[in-house]
Amino acid sequence: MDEHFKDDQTATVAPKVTLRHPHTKDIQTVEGTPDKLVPLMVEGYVQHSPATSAEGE
Amino acid sequence: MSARVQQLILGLGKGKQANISTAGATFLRFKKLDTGITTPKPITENDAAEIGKGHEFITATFPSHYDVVNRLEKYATAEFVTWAAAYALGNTTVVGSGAPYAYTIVPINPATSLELPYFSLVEQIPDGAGNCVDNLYVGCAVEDFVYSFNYGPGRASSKMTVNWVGSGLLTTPSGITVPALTTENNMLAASMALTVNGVDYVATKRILSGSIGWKNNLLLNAGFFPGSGLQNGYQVRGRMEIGARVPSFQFSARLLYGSTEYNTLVNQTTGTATLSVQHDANNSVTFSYGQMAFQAAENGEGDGIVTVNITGAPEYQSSTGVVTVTTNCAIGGIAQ
Repeated sequence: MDEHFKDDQTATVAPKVTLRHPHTKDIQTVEGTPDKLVPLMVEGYVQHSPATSAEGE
Repeated sequence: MSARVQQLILGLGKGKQANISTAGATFLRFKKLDTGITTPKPITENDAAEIGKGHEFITATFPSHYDVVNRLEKYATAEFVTWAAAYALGNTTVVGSGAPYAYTIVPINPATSLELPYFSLVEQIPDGAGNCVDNLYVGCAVEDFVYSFNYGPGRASSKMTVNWVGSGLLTTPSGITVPALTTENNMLAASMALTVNGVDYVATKRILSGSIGWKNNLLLNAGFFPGSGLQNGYQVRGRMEIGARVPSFQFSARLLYGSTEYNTLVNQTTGTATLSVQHDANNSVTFSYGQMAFQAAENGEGDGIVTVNITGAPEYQSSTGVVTVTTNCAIGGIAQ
């Protein structure tokens, strides 16, 4: 995890979030934590669906 | 009867609009500090300078366009900072099926879009049997925000100011029933954690004041493109695209023996920067910069104490971008 995100949000198991790139249409499902989300969001991926609970995965 | 400005009912669109011209359906009612009431300002032009009339005076006026701008000045709450960052930066992910919701917000990637999410804004001022102001502004975007903090007691230690721009699209009367006031959770500067380039400015009790800003430099004239649309014969914007965006980060700290700011500047050392404030664990905001250099470090004075005033240079990094705002608050669906 990146140093500057280490204090962010909860330490419990994070729900999964599906992101989609509006141009390439590529879909990625990752943990809903900043260190997993930000690299994709910086590339232009946007949230594709509401987060799902980790228990339901 | 007359109306007092405290009667202003301000509703900010919670969910983003489907497009610039389709009004949002959900609103959050907020209090604010400034007394500014938005005016749906129709701009006119005239023929005073035109040649051939035989004189320099106006003989006719013509409708031009609508100009809608205003600002929102508030004490910084988890709810409002989340709203402002989400609409100012533009790419928002929210996690959680109930409070607290966890937001991760980054600037939009211009390779995928030049347009920020649009929101609607409603202002109503009850006056006797009706409203002396009742306007719904459709297709609004955030031009800039500044989060500022200061030493001193109370909510004034932590504030958030937003400037926004409207497309000019307007519905009067609004027809909107604004919900009850949003329960807000203030984040006092006393809760702050601040580490910049490896220096913990809170642990060393050095930090005094500062600000974090973001400016979109919206291309407002380009919004009046051929075919952008008319309202009452006045042009309205059909788009508001980002210009050259500018992040900013400044702070003032006490200057101590061994302070590293000058060397950081001279050597152009870079590191991470993280500023966090919170009301509690479920209501918090963190601004994170993956790479920060200093572009100025000037000595000064405050209350007779020697200070150093730092102007940071947030740098883009491939994996973290230029800035990330992560928040927790009890409201879901902001800018979704």
